[in-house]
Amino acid sequence: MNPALSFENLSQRYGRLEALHELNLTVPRGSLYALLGPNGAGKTTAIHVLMNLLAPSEGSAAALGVDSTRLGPAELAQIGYVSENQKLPGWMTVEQLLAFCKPLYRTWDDDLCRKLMRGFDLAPERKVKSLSRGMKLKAAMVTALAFHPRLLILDEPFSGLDVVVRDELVRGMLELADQDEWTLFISSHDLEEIENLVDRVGFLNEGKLLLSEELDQLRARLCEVEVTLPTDAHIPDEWPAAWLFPQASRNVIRFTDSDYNEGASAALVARIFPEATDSSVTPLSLRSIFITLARQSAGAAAKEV
Amino acid sequence: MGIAIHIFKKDLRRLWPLLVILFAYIGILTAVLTTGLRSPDPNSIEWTSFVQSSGLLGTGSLWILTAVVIVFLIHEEPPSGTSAFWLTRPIPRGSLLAAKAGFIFLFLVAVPAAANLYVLSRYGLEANRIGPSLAKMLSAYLIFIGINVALAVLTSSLQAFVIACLGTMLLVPLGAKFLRIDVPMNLPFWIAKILIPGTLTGVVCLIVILHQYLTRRTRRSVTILVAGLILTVPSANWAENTASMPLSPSSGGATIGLAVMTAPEGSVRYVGPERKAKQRIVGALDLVKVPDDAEVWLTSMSSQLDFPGGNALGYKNHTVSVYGDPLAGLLPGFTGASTPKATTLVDLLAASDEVYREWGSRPGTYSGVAQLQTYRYVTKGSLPLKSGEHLETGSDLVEVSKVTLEQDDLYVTMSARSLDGVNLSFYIFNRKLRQVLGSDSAVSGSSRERQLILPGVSVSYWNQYLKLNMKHNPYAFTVDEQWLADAEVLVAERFDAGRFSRTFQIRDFRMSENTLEQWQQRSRKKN
Repeated sequence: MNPALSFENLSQRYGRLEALHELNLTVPRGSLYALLGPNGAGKTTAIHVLMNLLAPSEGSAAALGVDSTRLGPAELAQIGYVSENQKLPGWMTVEQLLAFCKPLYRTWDDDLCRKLMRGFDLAPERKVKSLSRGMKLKAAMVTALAFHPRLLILDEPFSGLDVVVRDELVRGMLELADQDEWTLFISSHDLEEIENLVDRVGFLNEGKLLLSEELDQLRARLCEVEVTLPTDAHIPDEWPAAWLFPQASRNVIRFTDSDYNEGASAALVARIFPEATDSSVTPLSLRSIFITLARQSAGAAAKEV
Repeated sequence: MGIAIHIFKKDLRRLWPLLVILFAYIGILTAVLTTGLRSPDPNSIEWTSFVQSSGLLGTGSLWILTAVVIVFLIHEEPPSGTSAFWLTRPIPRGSLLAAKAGFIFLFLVAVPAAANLYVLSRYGLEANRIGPSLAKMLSAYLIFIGINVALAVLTSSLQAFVIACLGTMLLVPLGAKFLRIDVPMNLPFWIAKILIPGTLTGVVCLIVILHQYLTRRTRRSVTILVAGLILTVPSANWAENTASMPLSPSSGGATIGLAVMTAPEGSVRYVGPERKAKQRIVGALDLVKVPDDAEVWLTSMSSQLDFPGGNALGYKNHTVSVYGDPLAGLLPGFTGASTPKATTLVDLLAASDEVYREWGSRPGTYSGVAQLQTYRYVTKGSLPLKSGEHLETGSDLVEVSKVTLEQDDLYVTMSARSLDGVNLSFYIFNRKLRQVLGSDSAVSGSSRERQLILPGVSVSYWNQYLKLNMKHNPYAFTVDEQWLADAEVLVAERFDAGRFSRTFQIRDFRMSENTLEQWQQRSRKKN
């Protein structure tokens, strides 16, 4: 079975600036995937190529098994797309917007549409241009969900929204995820909502994909380790490459283990710190993982320079 | 088809206020254009005079309004940029194109064309002229629509569209200035003047529109548009400026020939503003066998003076010298119809002082190519020279507004209206006495044009007047009250009758053979 979406050696240049560098990524069908990265990492560019909003400089992207440059109405009728940059027709009321969208989709579900409208507390008579940013995103979300998309692509949907609206959007999507066999591909640098929503993550920085794996696996692999020593701590000469960002404070050494394995990691700690009186392992939140990867990436880039 | 109609309806919901303004504007314009048709002077009706003089109603305003509708229509679903809502929705591009094209043709082409057709019919345009007039209007209008749509599909905001328009307006004259094609071409006039530039521009715009909608490669579309327009402009100039057409009607087997009547006769020192001093070399040229009802204009002269050894002096002169007097054909045998001029002095060369000093007295071979434009005159009718008299022929209307005599001075004012580029000439004559006030001094005046609803066909308004002192008139006959009692106004139509060129050569040509002083002395001796 074709993956829900894929990127193959995708590079994208704007003049001399390379926004994406040989991106290779496959998202299986049914996944809830988050593409993470700081601002300017290339997330939006990747999505623009995927949605055929941009022609790739090199390589290719495919959605629902179809090359992005060949995406036609048949494929777009199965793809929901919401972006913070998308311009909705401001002169329409919400009701008119939905009425305009409805005939474009054979699978349009009026009941679902009404349910989403209620859930998002959207007033049908309001003009789109008079809606707040959050309400506009909700309206866009309704137009992207009401036809039961097989693939939902969200480009920075939470950017600049307050906590309540974010929560409503996430709940709306989770509710649908339970009902439909769909794939969610979301780009964001807002991690708290993502953590509850997705099962796989990719991390993109400066146009390069640093990792792509299941969230649980990532959480299990990246842990913060704290080792307590009887005397003042010094970082030893022998230091495993997977132990990142060591910090020594009095008799405690802290570091991030980027390749944590319960048995093997404990043995390694015991070998490196034979005099250790105590050690503890704390799983990292997605936010901490994000920061760790960003710092690691920045450090690698500095070394290259 | 269903989606195309869906989009069409949506666009109509969006743009109906603008359409209402546009249609109201067209309605008022139609009313202004068709009010007071019995009078050739639109200013005779106060409210139309006010509207016209205030500049509120004009084709320019209509074009701007139409362009605004086009921009809003296209930018509802702009095919450029990455943020438009429709780009990620299952909207077939063919349906989108069909919806936009349908909207434009129905509301922006068919409605004004129908109003224009109504105006033309109210003006009494002859049935056989309606088709060509409509075709001319539509071709000009569709080019305007095409360029606007092409610029709109390449932009995604009104500001960007305005900048693109300004850029195009700068680009096109630049293209015309630096790219010229001077290859002569023999094509019928309507093909050269209308079909080639119109088709080229239309094709370029169509390619850009289709390319942008189908590929959304904006940079490439812009390149196609820029290159296409730059290449179209000189092509249009080329077609327009060098096209010739068969002389029509036939000149009866006689061939108009260019005769060099004399050797170059003068060298006139000419100093123009901000120009280097130049020696102006003139020659007397005449055209022979110009038909009686024709007038031939020498419009340009390309010359080259070749000296032994390979040196040459080139020159191109855009000038107008007129040969022939159509009155001889319009009123044959009438006294006062002047005979064709014997010779006309034409600039043959111009040389800087430096060149003239070195080369002025050396002999060379002079070659000249004269471009000539022929006009023919056909009588449309005549009317008595009395206040309030009318002549109506098809869509053309002539009125003698006022004839007054104050002591020995005669004042005549006339108004006229003609449609679709018809050029009228007026001559005052006396049929019984077979006398005519000659064409040079007869009736002078001014004309102004205003476009109808669509571009391409205009209505011309003429204000003609004559002031003549009857005791000291320049004619060889007496003009008095009795002469005026039987006087009539002859109305003639002048129309293009073809372009042609003639070449000639003069051996042993010396620029300095005749100085201005010598030429003037010779003229004095002759007199």
